[in-house]
Amino acid sequence: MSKIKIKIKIKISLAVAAVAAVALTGCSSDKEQTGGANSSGSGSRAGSGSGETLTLSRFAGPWSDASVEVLKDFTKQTGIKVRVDAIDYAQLQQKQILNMQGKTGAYDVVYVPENWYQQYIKAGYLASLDDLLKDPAVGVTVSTADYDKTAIGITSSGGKLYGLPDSTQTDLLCYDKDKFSAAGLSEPKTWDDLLAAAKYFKDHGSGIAMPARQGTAIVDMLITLAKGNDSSVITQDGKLNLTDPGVVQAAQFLQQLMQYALPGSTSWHYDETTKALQFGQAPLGVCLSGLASATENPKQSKVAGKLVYVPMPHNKSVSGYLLTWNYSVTADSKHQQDAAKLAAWLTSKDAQSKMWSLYPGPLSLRNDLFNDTAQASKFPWLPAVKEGLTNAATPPLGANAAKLFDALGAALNGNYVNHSDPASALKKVQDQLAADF
Amino acid sequence: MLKRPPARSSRSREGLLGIVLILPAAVTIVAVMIIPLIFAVFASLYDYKLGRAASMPFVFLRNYTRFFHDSLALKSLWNTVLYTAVDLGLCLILGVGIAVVLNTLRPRQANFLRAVFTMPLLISPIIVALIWRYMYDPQYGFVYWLMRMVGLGDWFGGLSRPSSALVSVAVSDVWNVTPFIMLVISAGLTVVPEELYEAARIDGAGAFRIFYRITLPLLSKVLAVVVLIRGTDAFRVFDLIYGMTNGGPANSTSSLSFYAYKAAYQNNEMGYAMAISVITLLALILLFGPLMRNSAGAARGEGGR
Repeated sequence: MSKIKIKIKIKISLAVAAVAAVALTGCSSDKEQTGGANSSGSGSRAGSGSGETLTLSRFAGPWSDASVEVLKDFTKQTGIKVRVDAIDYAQLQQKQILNMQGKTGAYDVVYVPENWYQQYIKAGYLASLDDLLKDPAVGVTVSTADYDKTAIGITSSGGKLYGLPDSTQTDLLCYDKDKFSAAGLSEPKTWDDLLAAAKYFKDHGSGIAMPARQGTAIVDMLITLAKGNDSSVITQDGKLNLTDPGVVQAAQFLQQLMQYALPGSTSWHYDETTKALQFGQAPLGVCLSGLASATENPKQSKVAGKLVYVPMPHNKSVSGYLLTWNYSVTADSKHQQDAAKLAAWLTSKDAQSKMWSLYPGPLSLRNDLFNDTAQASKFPWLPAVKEGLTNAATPPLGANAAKLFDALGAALNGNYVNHSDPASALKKVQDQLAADF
Repeated sequence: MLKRPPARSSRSREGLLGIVLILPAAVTIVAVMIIPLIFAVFASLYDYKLGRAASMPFVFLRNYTRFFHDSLALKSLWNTVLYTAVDLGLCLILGVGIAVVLNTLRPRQANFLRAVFTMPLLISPIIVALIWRYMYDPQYGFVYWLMRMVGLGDWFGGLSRPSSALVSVAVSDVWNVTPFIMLVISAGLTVVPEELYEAARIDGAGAFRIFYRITLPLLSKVLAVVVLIRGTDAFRVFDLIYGMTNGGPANSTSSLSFYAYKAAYQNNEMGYAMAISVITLLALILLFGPLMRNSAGAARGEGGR
């Protein structure tokens, strides 16, 4: 090879390497522009109003799309722009933690479910809202009495408020009233009623749609049923209580009910049970109230207008399950005043009413909307949600709650597929995790 | 006239050229592989939790000993080994078989069919998981529809039973990645001299004997590479399990990667998750390291002739 050719090759290689280096640098610059990442340290209270852009972290989906629409009103009113970083729920917590831990200031407001609060508060990720909401510069009037008391309790710690409750959902039983009427069955209120109905439909070729996949949904059902049996998986003083007779009975009931489940239920989550109801394959099933709008949408559902929603059947008392979503301001936000304003605005009556009209799934945790009978009449599942929430269990909220859900989810799913004894499965989990609670 | 010795400057220029060419890749590998690996090993010696990095206690090898006392971790290890064996076995049988059959067809037919068979490879694993999750649904899934046609609808467990869930996940992966093996083997078959086949046929050898005595031995180097790539991929399975079964039913599809993910992001036990990841790496080196050594040794041997 001639010397000239070698020189040319070296020059070309250097040029390619230089272009690659510039491209890599360009990529990282682009990320800074869109992500707004800034590692300059702790948050500030500075509120600058017009022209500012806040970032809200939440999970993606139609609910998020509705919030993007509603936020246009906030921008019109305040001049503050809001960028919604909506990602898949499964990655939401990781992304929030990684940003808040690194004090990047990337997020100003975070959308947080009830079971992450203790972890976030302990780690110092969230700003206390008490002073912020009273700050005249923020310019909002918020009273904790406006919101559900239990929900406020969930977002508070050590006498300080860390989140404003937004919405709630609970598990419900849904059934097709025409099919029940044709079968001569009445509304299932008790465990025996439900077993009888499920058995009837199983004997006639279908069954009950159950979210029995290894995961959180089965544990949700167990907690709700245990509450309806006047028991609880966690005692008042935070101890694990899985060997309580009331909890064991609830697990045994679930095991019995599963024998009448539609084939495939052991792989289903709430999405699949909702689909089975929507397409008329399941005459009854367990669903999540936040997904109920899909079953009532005539464009998406074959059973719109035909379903009846009731609280989960009980053994002793009507019960529900309080799953909440809340808005909090991050400790490292550089615009805490504006962020508090945003959180208060998003949980205001006007914003929530508009959200509801765009996506009528979850129920507002504002007392004035929660008790609004006009709204309840538009959304047929809401009366059942309210009835259930009069005696609602909350999910385990401690730092080890995720471990409990994981172990219980596997144990309950294992019971169904292996036809094993629920009592011994619960005892095994109790022995494994009691020290963590 | 004296011979001039080879110019050192041209060798050093070629050496410099080589360094410049591999520098971007080397920097990338160090930045995204070596440094994170060192951090993972470091973090595995601590009780490291996200959000509490400032106060993480040093636990030395406790995360590693915990792994070998954790029944779910050991179950995940077993599931992973089983999954790798099933996945790799099926991929090789199908991939090699399809490539050999295509090799016997006319070029136009073979190219067309090769393009058709390659299509599953274009789908990302998480989408494969979603597609097959619904394909396996007993109510409206395609697999069950087929099974019912041959009277096996009630027998087939699919994703619902521990006895069949892992194999069902493996089948979906085989569908996705067999085209890769087919393509690599097809390329490998192009270097097998046609004269050898002719000579074998003249000597009266049947199709199976030709395949076993000529094709396979000549493909051994290619097969070693394919087993290495495919085997390490299968061992690290995560997205299919995450999308299809969430580790169930009854943890029968929980793999090492999936278990590490849960430890890290659900249970916030980063140190333990790092230890599981390091153990996964060591298992991969143990299982597939000899293959790498053989491949590298063979390459050096050929280059030195």
